[in-house]
Amino acid sequence: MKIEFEKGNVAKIQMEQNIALGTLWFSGWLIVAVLIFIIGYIFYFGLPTALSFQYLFTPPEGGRYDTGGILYQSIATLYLIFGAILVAAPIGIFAAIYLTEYAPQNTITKLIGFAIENLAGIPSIIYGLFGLAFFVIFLKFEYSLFAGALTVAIMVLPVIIRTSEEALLSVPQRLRQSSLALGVNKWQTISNVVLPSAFPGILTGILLSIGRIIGESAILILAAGGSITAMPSLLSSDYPFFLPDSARTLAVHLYYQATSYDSRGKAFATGVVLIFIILFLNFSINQISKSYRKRFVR
Amino acid sequence: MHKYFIKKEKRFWTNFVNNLMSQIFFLSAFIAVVSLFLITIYVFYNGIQIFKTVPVKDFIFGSEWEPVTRKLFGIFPMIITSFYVTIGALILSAPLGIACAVFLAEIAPLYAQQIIRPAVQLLAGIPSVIFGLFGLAFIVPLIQTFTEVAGLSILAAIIILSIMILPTIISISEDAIRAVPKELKESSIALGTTKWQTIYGAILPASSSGLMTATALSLGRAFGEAMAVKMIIGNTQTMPDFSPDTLFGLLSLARTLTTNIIGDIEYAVPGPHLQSLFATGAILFVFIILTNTVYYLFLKKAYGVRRAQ
Repeated sequence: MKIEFEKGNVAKIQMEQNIALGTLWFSGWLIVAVLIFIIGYIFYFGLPTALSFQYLFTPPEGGRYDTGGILYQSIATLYLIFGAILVAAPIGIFAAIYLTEYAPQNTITKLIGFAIENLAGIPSIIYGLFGLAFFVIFLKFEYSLFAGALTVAIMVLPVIIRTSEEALLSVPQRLRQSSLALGVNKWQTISNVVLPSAFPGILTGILLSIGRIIGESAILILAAGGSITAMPSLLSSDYPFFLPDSARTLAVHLYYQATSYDSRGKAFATGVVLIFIILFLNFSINQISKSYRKRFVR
Repeated sequence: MHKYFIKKEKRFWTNFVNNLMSQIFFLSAFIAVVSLFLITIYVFYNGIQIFKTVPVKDFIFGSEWEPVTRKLFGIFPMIITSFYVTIGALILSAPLGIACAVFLAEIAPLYAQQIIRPAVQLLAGIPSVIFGLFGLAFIVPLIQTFTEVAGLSILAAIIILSIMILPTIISISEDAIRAVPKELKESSIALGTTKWQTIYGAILPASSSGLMTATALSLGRAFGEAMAVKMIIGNTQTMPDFSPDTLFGLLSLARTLTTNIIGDIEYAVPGPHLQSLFATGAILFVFIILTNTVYYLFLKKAYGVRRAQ
């Protein structure tokens, strides 16, 4: 690079620098502006309806004209989160324990890492097709929250594994060594020393997954259907015994509301509810990771 | 603290639990492999069935999609639209996202970082249906007022997708830029360059493989996005009109591979129609695998870059 110290040239470089840095400042704040505008737009149109408790706590009615509320949809969303986390959290955390505490450097470990990376990159519509083919049709779960929950559980598995892995890796090695030095075996060390120290990080991963589950819609349209005729039940005496009903979560409901012109206005209210939940989750995640960072970084 | 007994039967029991748990941990980790295997098998197996009745060439290069009335299964328009929308979104999003990442990593004072970073994080967490709703209620009418068309269009999809993939581009690019060795920046500054010359001449080239990774990954995300696009692209099954009248297709209604699945699944009956949707998914999957492979190749070169989330 040639740098010549002529006066005009310096002025030119200075101007170039100002323009470039100005653009960078602008692009940074533009993101914030876009975010605030989108959220503000949804809130402006949706907040009045969402704040009326009648909308939140009455069952859906009126079909296409959508005169009722979102009680069943909220319950379906809760059941879905419950079902999916119940499956994904233990498997994800155990997998992370294996990868951080046990896994030898071999082909199988590499294969597991490869699978996790790829699962994270698969779009949700493909998960939906899989849920439809495997859980709904092959295992005969029909369109049900159960089929939806299992499919969603696979989708969030990489999220839980990766965040738990990071949490486990950040536990100082000396804690493990001191525990083992007491003559305690590996499992006791993990359950009594490593897991409690990594708990906040693991919790972050679970909250992150809950956010993904709440926002998911493509998978559920393909695997859980979109019924809003009855309150979804948690247990049933018929096969499948757990979460057997076809149901619509809030995100799926928003999709149907928004695409039918008669109920577009209500979609904003559902959007407000979703954004509120996401904001709350994000806030919790930030609080946890803030207090967590203080513990190990000294 | 727990009490640890040294009695023989107790020791047997603790050893047993210890071994059992290590097996359970391994099996849990292996579920990831099983899941990936099953997903691949089920999507491809169900998709391949269509090729018993429709030749591969007619499926991929056929330009007409009339699955119910005329039994025509051509997804070529959707492949073209998928690429068009994805590349359009990247052209809008990549420069902005990388600029934002440079700002966050190199220039932004602490207070700006403390505002922008959570904003990016929040943007990543907003459900795609909300982006779809915003597009439908704001972007589509906006396009409608400036032009003579319906508003539902490829352009609307490109705008919404470019917002949706920003967080991916920003967070991975920022990681890549932060991974540039300090010595490199300092040597550049020691040569008397300005901040911008350092960014342009040293930092960006040094992090280029990481920036490519960010782009490849967001390409995969844009390609696979279904719901938001479905709500604003119109979902007509004809080839988009690439004439100058519609700004070379930008104002044309269209259908992507993903929205083909979402749109048709509501009335597809088991048989060729449902199989063709699985085949559409399989084609989409192939493209995703390709972008993932590109990502892997770049990842090996980029140092210190890990997949976000």
